[in-house]
Amino acid sequence: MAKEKPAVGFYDLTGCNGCLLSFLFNEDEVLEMARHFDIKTFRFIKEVKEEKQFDIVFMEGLVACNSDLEVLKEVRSKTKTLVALGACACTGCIPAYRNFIDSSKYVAMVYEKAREMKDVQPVPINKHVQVDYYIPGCPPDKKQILEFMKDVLLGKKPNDYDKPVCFECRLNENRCLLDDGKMCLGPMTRGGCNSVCTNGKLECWGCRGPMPDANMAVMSKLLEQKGFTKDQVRQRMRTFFGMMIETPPEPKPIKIKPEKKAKKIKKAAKPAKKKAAKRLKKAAKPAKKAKPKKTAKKMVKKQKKAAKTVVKKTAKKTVKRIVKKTVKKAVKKTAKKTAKKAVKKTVQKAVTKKTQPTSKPAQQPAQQQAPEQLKNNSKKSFLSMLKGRFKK
Amino acid sequence: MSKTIKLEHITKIEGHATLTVSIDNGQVRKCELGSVEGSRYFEGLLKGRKAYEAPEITSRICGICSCAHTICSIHAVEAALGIKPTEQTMLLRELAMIGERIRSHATHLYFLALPDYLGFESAIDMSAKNKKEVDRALRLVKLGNEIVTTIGGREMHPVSMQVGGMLKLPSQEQVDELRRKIQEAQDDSIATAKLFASIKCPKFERETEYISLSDGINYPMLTGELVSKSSRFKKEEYKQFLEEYHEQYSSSNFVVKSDRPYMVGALSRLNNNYRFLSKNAKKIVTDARIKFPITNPFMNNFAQGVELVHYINRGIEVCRKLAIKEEKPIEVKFKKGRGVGIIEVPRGILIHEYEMNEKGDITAANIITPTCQNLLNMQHDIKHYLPSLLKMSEQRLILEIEKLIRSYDPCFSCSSHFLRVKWEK
Repeated sequence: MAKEKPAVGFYDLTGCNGCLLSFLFNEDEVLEMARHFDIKTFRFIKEVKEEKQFDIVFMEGLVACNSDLEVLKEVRSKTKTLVALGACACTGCIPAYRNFIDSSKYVAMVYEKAREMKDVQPVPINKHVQVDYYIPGCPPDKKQILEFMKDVLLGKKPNDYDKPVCFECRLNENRCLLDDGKMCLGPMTRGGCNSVCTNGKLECWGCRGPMPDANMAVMSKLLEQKGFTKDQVRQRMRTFFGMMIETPPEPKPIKIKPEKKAKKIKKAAKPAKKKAAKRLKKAAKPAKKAKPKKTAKKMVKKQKKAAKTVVKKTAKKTVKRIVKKTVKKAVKKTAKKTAKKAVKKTVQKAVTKKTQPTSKPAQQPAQQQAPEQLKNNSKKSFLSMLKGRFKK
Repeated sequence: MSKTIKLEHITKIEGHATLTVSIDNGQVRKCELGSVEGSRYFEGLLKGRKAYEAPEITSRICGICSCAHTICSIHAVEAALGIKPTEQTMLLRELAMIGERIRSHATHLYFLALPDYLGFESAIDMSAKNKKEVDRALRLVKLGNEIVTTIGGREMHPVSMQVGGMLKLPSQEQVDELRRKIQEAQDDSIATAKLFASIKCPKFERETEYISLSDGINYPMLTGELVSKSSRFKKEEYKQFLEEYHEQYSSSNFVVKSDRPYMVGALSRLNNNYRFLSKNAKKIVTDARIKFPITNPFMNNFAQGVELVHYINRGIEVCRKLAIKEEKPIEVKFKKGRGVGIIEVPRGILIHEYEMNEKGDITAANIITPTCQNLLNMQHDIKHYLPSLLKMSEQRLILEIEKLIRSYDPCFSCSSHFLRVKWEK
């Protein structure tokens, strides 16, 4: 063969290896694919790794510890195209749901001594590096990965599926689960999965992330009308794509609070211990002990309050923005009708901005700009972030 | 002379792990095997969620055994709420587990373990010269996937299995079709077992405690008590016998039984339940002139091969038993309680335990995966195995250790995602 095979790497960060398995589960095609690509790295099934230069890297999993971050940055610098494979890499999936949990409820832990493990805030990979393509889904449809690789071989630009889950669900002639009183997120979730969950009568949890023009506010209202509470709906939306619709409260939950608490109590407890050693068993002592504890508690309470207000404020802001920007129609209608328009717009924008990465990725100068772009990105409103994420 | 061996990224296993060994004058001073994946704190994520949401969330712990996590989680919730699933539901769950077992064993045996023994770098390399084997593996994986998809609705993270029953039932025709396909795979499974019987395992014996489920009727899968040579206890009592602890170098926990390591997995299942194997599976063992119990951890591969034969037979049996009738999932009524689900998954016993309040919100959760349980045993094996390897070149030595680790079929993505978490109420 005269044509050179594209050099491919399959990497996994913190995750369940399910997305890479999904690729391998193309039982009839996987060997054929291995022939057309030069698979340089695939830790899951391959001993040797040649980590020089890649044309494409498929990255599974999300960034959850320091070593993940190192690997991700190194790989980004070596590849022309980076593909986020699966929900963890694209939206953060369930592991990123941790960002929204009040850690003070569960963290003070036996795990204490292993602080060196260096957890970092669990985020999808595009928070740290530029991502060229997304193959969403938990797990991504195995045929979809194959389709992507075929497109690469043909020099075609891979397409995003631009209709919500509802579209495919209707084509599959399923009964609407919303009518059955289930908390189905199908109307606002990006399709392309052949509505696999609703075919099996499980409501859509939104693993592929929201449509670029999804109207969260109306979706939420719709579900509230069905009898779910606001909290339940928010919790469900946060499960798979919380990072895409909200900015989680900053000071990272795991470390800070318990440490401060522990220190204060320790400081306070020490003199008390000394006194105990001197056998001063007076009634005044417990009062002394109690005081610092109280202040520590107060501190924690204050922190909690502050965090809560921040969340409320940001949530309100984002909701206002959505309401302004999207038309207040029923979610189903907007999703279907505006989907095409919105995607066209974003595609046009993107095309003017970028050259197409897979066909001639080497000419892409955008990589060096990535860090600055990202910084700006994090400040933008959530909707523009959404658009940015899905732009092709 | 002292030296330190550090294996940074062990390949061909599920997830990330490192091994650090230091040897001093032919003595192993330090041997630390641990997971280096980021932690996902699944037990923390479950707090405050409704009990029926747990299966969907915990299924994301692992890609290769997502069915197992889903079903184990369902069992734990059902135990807490006092729900008894129907016979049909149990059979369907068992069939899904069989499908998953077939594909998991096939993946491990052919893609992760076999290349070591045939001297290839990877299965892709192997496919040039040993196409027959690789094709066979892919056929088995495909069969497993078809079984799981038919029942669960998707190859991974099944959708139709719920607390109380099945959201969607396969049709009788689909089940019959599955039976036909499983029957066709019989030859492949036997060829696999024979292949692994013919492979020479390194000579190494170390006795340890082998724990598995056993219900005294069938080869264990979803039901039974926990047994080993010396003890027998109920699922609910697991905390009295098994103890978790944490080490600094690993993001996964270690589990011990009365301060000693033990082994779970195919070898343990076979050591404890040999008599319940199917005829064909027994024949493989007697033909190979092997007698259980076995104390060589490398033989775990062979045990998986034998299990493959057994589960193919059992799959046919389950399909025969299934006469699909329409039934709806049992309605869930919340009550306060604690429930433990323990089932046999490809790599050993999996434990899910939840506590919930009267509204059905999970208040505490504990999950112990097989690899956590095997981790310490692996370390001890490496310690004992190393002195006999010291004359080898470093490359050979590393390969041998990797072989040993791989024979356990460890899954570090599963194991690292649980931290023992103390709940503040």
